[in-house]
Amino acid sequence: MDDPQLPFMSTPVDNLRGGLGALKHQVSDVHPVETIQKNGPKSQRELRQQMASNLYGCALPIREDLECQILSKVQRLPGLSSSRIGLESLTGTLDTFGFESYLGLPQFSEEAPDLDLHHSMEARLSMTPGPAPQGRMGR
Amino acid sequence: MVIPTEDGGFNFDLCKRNAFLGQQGVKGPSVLKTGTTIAGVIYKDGIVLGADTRSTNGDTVADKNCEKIHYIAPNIWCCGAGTAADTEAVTGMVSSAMELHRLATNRSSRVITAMTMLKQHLFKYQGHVSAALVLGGYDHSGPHLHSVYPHGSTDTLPFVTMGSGSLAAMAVFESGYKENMELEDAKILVARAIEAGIFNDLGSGSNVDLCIINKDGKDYLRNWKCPNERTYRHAGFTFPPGTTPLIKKNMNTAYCTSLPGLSALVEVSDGPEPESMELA
Repeated sequence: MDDPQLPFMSTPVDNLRGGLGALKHQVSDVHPVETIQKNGPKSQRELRQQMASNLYGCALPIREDLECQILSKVQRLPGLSSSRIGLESLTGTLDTFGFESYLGLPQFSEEAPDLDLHHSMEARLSMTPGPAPQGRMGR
Repeated sequence: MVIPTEDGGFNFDLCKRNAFLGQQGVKGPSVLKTGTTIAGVIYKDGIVLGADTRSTNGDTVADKNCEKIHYIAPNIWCCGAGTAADTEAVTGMVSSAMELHRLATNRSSRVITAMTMLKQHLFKYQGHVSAALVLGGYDHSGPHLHSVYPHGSTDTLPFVTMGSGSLAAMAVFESGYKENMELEDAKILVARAIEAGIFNDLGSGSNVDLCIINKDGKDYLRNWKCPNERTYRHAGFTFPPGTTPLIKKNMNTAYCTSLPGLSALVEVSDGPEPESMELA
């Protein structure tokens, strides 16, 4: 596997909240399936959009993208899991059932969620410079 | 824009640890060879699927009578070869997706839908999901038989075989297959093909399972042929009381009243007097 590039840091690392971590260690994917799992939904979406724009013109994927953006904004406060049923029905994930639907779900995680509601909301609303905490429920 | 997705999936924490240990020279477990014979034919009115029932773990036979024909939909069934957990997971996920799709569309499932779901899933994981499948079913457009390879490619043929015994089974099909066979002939042909795998491939063995799918529904014939019955079965042992000599007849524990046979054999007596403790 070739040496992965370090990400360009746009925000300062908050070691007090995020903890000390080797940046390179976090970036590199060790297993090829990890890469597939990480990039799969995004690449599939891009492929679908490309196909739709080839078939029907670019207006359709743009419109779909807009609706996706609106529907992905509808979610509960950080720490509560959002159902996102509108988004799921738009993207068609309501009908799908993959590994991500039943393996390693955050609600069955053995780690306690390190959620900080106020900081997450501040990060989401761009009131603090730092990134949102990386807890599994905090997203 | 980041579209939120479901947060679940595989966890790779240990993978990083294992890679580190591998760098330090620790040898991990290697990939095991899998073995199976599965097959299917199209006959006059539908599909006959067949599978052997041996499940192996390396050189060890882990299960002599496992089930390799999995449910996808009431009219679609799927034989699985490869890693048992992967075939079970993939067929289970696709059967769930088919159920959701049936509820959404209010129509009975089509075989091609299941095949597309399977191949898209397997292609997405680039062969890391080790499932080689024989998918058969009967829908509104008649019988359909497909084979799905672990990397997501598919075949559509009147007779297919999969697994390590596929060559032996395919030899039987290529010599014995005829178009528009009767059900009994198709059953015998599939059973012969699976038996060729059972007897000639070390990864396959034990019994023959069949699954017949036609317009009237399915008929799952579990252990339709059992060519490897144990000819000598031991009845078990009965020992007369006192066969095992008692060396000591001194028990400090309380005697057992719930096992009358035991208390008859063992004389229970009190142990030596415990020494008095010094209390400071």
